[in-house]
Amino acid sequence: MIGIGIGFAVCIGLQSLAYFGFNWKTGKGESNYFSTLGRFQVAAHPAARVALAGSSISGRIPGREAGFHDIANLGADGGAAIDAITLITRGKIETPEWLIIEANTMHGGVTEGESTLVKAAQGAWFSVGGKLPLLGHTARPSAMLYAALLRRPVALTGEDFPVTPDRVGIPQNKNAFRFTDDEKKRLRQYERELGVLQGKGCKLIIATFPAGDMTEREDWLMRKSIAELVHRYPMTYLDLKQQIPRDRLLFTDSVHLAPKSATDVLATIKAAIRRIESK
Amino acid sequence: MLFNSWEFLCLLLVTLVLYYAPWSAGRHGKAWQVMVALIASVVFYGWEDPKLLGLLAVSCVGNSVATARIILYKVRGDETRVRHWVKLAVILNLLLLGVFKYAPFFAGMMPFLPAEWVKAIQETAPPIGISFYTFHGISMIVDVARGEVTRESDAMLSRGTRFAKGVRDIGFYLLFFPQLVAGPIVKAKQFWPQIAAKRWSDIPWIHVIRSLILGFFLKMVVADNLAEQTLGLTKPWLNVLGPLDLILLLYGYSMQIFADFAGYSLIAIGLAALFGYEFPINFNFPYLSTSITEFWRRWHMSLSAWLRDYLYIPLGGNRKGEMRTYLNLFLVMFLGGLWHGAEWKFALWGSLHGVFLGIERFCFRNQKKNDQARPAWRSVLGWIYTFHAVTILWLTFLMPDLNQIAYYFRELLVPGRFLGPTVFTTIVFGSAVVVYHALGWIRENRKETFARFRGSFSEAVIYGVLLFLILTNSGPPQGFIYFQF
Repeated sequence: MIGIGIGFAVCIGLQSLAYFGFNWKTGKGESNYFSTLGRFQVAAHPAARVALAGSSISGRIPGREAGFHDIANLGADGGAAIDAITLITRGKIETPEWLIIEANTMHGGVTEGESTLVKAAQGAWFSVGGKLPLLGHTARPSAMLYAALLRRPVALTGEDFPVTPDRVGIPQNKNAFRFTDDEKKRLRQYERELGVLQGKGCKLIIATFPAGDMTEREDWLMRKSIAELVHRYPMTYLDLKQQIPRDRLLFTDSVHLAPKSATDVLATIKAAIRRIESK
Repeated sequence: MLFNSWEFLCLLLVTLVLYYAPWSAGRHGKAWQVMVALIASVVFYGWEDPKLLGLLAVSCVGNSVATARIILYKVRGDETRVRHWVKLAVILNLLLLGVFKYAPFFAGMMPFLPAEWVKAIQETAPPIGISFYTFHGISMIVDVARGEVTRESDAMLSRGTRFAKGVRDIGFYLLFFPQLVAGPIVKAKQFWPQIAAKRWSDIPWIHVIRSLILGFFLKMVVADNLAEQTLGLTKPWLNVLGPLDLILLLYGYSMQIFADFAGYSLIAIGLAALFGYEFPINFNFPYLSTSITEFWRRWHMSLSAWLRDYLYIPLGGNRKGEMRTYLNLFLVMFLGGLWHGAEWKFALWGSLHGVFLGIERFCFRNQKKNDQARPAWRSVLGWIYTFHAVTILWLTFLMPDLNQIAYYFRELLVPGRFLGPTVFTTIVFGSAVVVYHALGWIRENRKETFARFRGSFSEAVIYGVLLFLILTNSGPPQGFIYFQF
């Protein structure tokens, strides 16, 4: 038993040292699941001024874990905005002043019950990890090793692009498309949760992020969903995908922004918020 | 209920406290402990879906009644009636398995059934663990009929309370939660003699700690972390990956399925030891095997032993000539494949293993047993062949159908991206299985070195590291792969 205790204690010591080396937070780990839970854990308290809810597309925007203390990155790798929105409405993540909802992947995510991420974030271990950092999801030894090998630098300053709030254009020639039952359910989920968020005083912005191409139907689905939500809950729509020239951005693959471009997009969002607030 | 869940931890703690309560040392200690373990097993099994308990009760009562009759007629020397009851009980067990596990398989082959019926039948999931408790039931019936279980069975001879006690012990054997859902398949003749009052001071703590830490490490750290990545081998992610990712992930899956099942078995062994019962080992470093024949002596050993004792030997084994031996080998593996699931892919998996066994038996028919003089290069070649044959055949476990297996091989020819997390996870977590087998090799080939390591301070420190990793680096929670069988 003494040997087991010593082995355990030595590991805790090494983990603490490594975590200190990472300034007590790691960014992207090798696991989508834990990277997302780690972002949720870091973002949970205190309330951020701006939070981004979406998929891995918005997950690349630097947040609190990268030194931007007023930004909570709630991107769910392999998920959609509904995961983070649900956790905010349930009080597991404190309500931000502004919530940016990524529209690109709104058509994904769960329609029945809760996603595994939402279930995990409501579990005891998530709360324990929030209180004891060494048991937190960003302190996983494999995540630290992966982050060290990846060495993805965070750009701390970004250039903002001039964007203006937009009206949603729904291409008329695509009217042949219809919502499926699942898509209708998903839209109702968003409507319910956004109603709760507005009731909590959260200001909402819905945005399309620069990312990969969509099929005709996905594009229609996204625009139609945005139009219905904006009609029901007055909120700003930012079409970052159209308004930021794609040739000014760099991607690590065909979908996800490179660090410098992600910081530029963040700067653009912040500038847009400042403009809205000044009106 | 999963071994790696909070609910199970609570159930375990409550059960342990009651099981070893002070009055358990008294005159009725055995009865108390068996009842506590029985009730805990019922809660464990019925936690997710209490409806499943109905089927388990049918199996338990049916097997208990049949066992009682077999013992009665065996004592009276009425072998005809013994055989009659054995047949009846085996049919009952196979009927349960046939209706609840194989109905979808057979329904798909009956063109006259309405399509919606077939769909409804195929969408009904088989009850968890049915293959395991059915095999336990058959083992009990056969062992009793062979006269290999006698001590507890004496209780069945008189009526009333003693009969009830006998039924209770049979129920305990069938339901005991460490082995209920996914084995190891403990034979009645191994388990029944162990049913007795247990004392807290007799718990083999070092064995328990070793089994539980290693088992939880293999399951929660290795298998669950690999599982998040190997999901990429299924559609729609399959066509996103490049050939190198696909090959690496297949190796990863091979490691995952070992870690998942060996981990489960070790946890079961550790838990059983905590309650004073000794289960047989289920895995003996299977990826060290240098032939498929050897692989089946090291992998899921309790299933191999069950198939040997209750199927291969009754079929005639190797006593009825060469041709019949090949046929028996093939039949046993074919049925062993179907035991895993009512699908053609499992039949293919079992059949191919049967073919490999047949080929190896034919090629090495003149080789003496325990031939230690084999050159090293032949062992290395044998290992490469065995590991790759076994690994490729695991595709049948992972993929939903044969079409997707074919699609996997087609995708190997399509250039694609090389993904960081795939490589990282497979190397980091897969290497744990490699290190585990390297230790196994040392244990078998450098006995003195291993003896110095076993029980040493260094070994304890390593268990401390594993415990640390269980707490800080477990993967996303997943069910056990073998629960579906």
